Amino acid sequence: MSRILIFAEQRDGQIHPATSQLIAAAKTLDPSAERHLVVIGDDLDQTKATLAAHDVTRVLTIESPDLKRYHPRGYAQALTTAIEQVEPKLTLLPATFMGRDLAPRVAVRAKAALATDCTALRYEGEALIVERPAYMGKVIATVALATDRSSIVSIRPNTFAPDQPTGANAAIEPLDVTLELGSLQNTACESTSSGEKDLADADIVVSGGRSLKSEENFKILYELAHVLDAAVGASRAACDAGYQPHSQQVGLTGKTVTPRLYMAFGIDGAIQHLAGMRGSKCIVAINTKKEAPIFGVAQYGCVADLFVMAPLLTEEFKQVLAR
Amino acid sequence: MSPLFMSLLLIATLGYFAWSVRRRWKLLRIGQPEPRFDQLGHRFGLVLRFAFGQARMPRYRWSGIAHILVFSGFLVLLLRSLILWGRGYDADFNFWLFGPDQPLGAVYALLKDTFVLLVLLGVAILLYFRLIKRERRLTLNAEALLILGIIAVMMIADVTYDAARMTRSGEFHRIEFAGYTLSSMMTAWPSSLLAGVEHAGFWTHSALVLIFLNILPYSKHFHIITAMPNVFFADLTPHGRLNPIAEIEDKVEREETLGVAVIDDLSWKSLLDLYTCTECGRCSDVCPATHTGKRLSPKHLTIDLRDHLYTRQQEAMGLTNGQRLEPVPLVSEDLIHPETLWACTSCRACEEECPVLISYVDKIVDLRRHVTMEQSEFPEQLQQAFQGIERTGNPWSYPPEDRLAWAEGLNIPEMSSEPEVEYLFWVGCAPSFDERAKRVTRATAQLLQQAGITFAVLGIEEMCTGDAARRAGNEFLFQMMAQQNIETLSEYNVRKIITTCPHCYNTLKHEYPDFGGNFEVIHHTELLRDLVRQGILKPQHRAEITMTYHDSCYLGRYNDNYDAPREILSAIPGIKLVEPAQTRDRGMCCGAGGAQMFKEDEPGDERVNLSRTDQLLTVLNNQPQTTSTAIASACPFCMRMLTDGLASKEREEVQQLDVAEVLWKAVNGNDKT
Repeated sequence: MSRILIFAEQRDGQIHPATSQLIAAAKTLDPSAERHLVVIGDDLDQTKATLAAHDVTRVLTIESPDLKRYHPRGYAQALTTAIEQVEPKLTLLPATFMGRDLAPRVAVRAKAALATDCTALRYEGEALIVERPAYMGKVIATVALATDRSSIVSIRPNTFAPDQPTGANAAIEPLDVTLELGSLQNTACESTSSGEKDLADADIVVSGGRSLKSEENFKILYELAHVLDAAVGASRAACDAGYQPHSQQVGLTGKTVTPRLYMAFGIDGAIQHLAGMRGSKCIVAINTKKEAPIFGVAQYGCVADLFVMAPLLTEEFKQVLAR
Repeated sequence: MSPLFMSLLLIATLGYFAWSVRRRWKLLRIGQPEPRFDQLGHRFGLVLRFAFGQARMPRYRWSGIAHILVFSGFLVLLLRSLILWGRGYDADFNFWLFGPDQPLGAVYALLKDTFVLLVLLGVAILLYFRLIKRERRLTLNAEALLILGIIAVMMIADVTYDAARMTRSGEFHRIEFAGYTLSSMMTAWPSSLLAGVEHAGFWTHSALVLIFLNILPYSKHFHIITAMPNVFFADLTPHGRLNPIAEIEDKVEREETLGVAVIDDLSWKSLLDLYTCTECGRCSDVCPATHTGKRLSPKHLTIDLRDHLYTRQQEAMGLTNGQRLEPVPLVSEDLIHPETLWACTSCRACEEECPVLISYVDKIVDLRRHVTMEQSEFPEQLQQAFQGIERTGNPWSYPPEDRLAWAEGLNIPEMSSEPEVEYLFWVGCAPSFDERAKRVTRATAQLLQQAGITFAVLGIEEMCTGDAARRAGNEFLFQMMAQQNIETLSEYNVRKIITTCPHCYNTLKHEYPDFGGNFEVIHHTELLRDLVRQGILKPQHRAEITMTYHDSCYLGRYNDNYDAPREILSAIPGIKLVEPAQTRDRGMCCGAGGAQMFKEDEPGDERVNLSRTDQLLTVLNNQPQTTSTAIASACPFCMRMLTDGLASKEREEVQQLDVAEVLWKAVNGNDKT
């Protein structure tokens, strides 16, 4: 029976949501294959128990204080050892920052065929066929992986619906790895997030422009953002005026965001700003200027005073979402 | 006087000078080859105009006049120095023609004494700007004072010598009026004192000239020798053209340096530029980056490169043919700081100002080429623009199929269906995608339609010209875009191109010919001006508005088009056109050129666009507040910068309009485009 090895990404014991998506992907691809999870880190008691509740054959754990935080070499050695142990036909990783770094390193070590950032995979006979978007999604490359070796595929997060834990109790097996970390050391990890939702990860972004008139006034956007579990962004003008730190700037020279919902309050939509958010699935613009360019890209526009609209929306969402 | 002493003096000083110059010559030879021996007539013309004619000097009036006085004095007194050296051997030496009793001698004596006084006046003015008024562009240093001191002492010594000589010999020549006047003080002096003074004056002048000569190769006053060749060998190609990297792909395969990484990657002419800088600081005085407190000051960039060059002198002496210096990267925190490199807006204000035609933009782009293409050390914000240009043909990554969105409802033909038109309308990226600039595109296209001009656009086949990529040092990407665009244009056999974007205009006109694309390129302000002149477009609706016009660098300084936009605005009844203090060739950049449009300003006191907006608002604020006000421009990048500037200054009641929009309204009576 063929085996699929799934890399379960975790940070500080928190399992990345992509992990359950990978399990679902494995099930869809070949329901009959054994699914082996491997989790790498330190002090993972809670984590491995959570993973074992999924419909998988076993959970391999590689634990070491040296692996507490992501270490490119250490993780690559650990995952390679797991591959040698399991001898899977296919290894799945998430195309997260960690997965994107790890997959090629492991592919070289394990002499495996590699396809990264895939959005679909299927077997055609013996050959594993994957699809990879290229040129910002303008074209899809269909790639067949070599059949004479094992394959490694990283899958773009949110491509598959998550697998739900069945409450199963899969075997948990520790795996010993000899680490040679060399001179590369991970000495510190500083989080720059202020406890607010990170722009890059947010499904919803609430963004404000110069018309907010002060840092103080941005509060009304933060209130709305909290109700929606959204991140707060700002135009360059607002950042220049000091209303928000430049880390919150959305635009060509700031962050590029593609949330499901982008709400622009008092942002005119200069081309530099549009370049950073035009890819959002749904854009809602609130601006007093009817001719503001932002309305050109918005699905929903409202010519209104943001100081009236933002609190109204906050109240309404509170009711609807019961938060 | 004393042939032996004069001989020793001449041999020692001229010998040392020859030694110094030989070293500098050798150092110059480490530079890369660059052909600069074409168009000799044109080159001699430059020398006449900029060296002998001192054409750019009076742009700073008083220091310019002072320099002209000192420079002319030098030319006049050159002969005098030769005569004095001759008198070292024969006390009555006068070059056979210039004796005080000979007509030529009399004329020369009058001329010489006049210039002695004028040079002293010039020195006084130059000292005033250094010691009393303390111009910010100048860095006060001992060398400048020493040189000015030497010049002054030489003049005084010369006249003192004449006076003592006349008094002692009893042969007074009124025509040597300075010496003659001074001699009246000496009549009572004993002859031994007079002899001493005569000797002192004589030897002071004769020796100081020679000492001065020996200081030159080690100082900024080297320009006295290098300025003329530097002007002679100036770049004669259009201002807006950057030198292409030839065979760029082969170079990569051969692992040759792209751009300038180390000092001997610069051409010999660039090194001559460094020799020639006189640190007058005019370049930095007009530099938008310096003005807004950025790390870049063109003067200091040149000085830093020169200082570095001079530290390599000894090493250069040991090189044999084909050998290179030990590589020391130029771009580093200790030498040319990356912030210096990336603060340049490529506006050419410095080059327009430099009295000795030193170039800056080409050097900065060459340095950027190296860090961008070989080290990938460019401001990360530019990555977005590069990627957009490469993948979607525009820096904002708009889908190419949206290129014609601006034309909705206007019935604009595409080349693919109507190739038999007079003009190709090259729309450009910003005018295709920027909502604000789209209105300018619509106004222009409709004005052309109204004037019966036949034109078509490339639509989806048009791609970024690559201007910003090129100026950010990404020559790869630029050449890729150039080749693709030229291929497209050639397919349709395009001859005449009209465009509203000065950046596209400059690249199409001056840079595409290097890649085989030769077109007649016309800016929309030029064509519209002609149509207004010919009466085809009639601006008949009054506009009660006070307006100032902001010069685009790529239109003005790059292409000498200052008048077409102004002529259009002036033809519109009711418009009062006022000029800001910094205008035309002194107009400050909006801050978007040289790829700055796609990155943030480097750290400094202020954004360039805010500073420029202030300058433009200053002239409008000084107008009676009875009419509405507007800033006119003729470039989509300037428009973006100034619109942002007005918003930041909360002065949005001041309109920001393209010349074409103003004309559209005057012709049609409404601003519905």
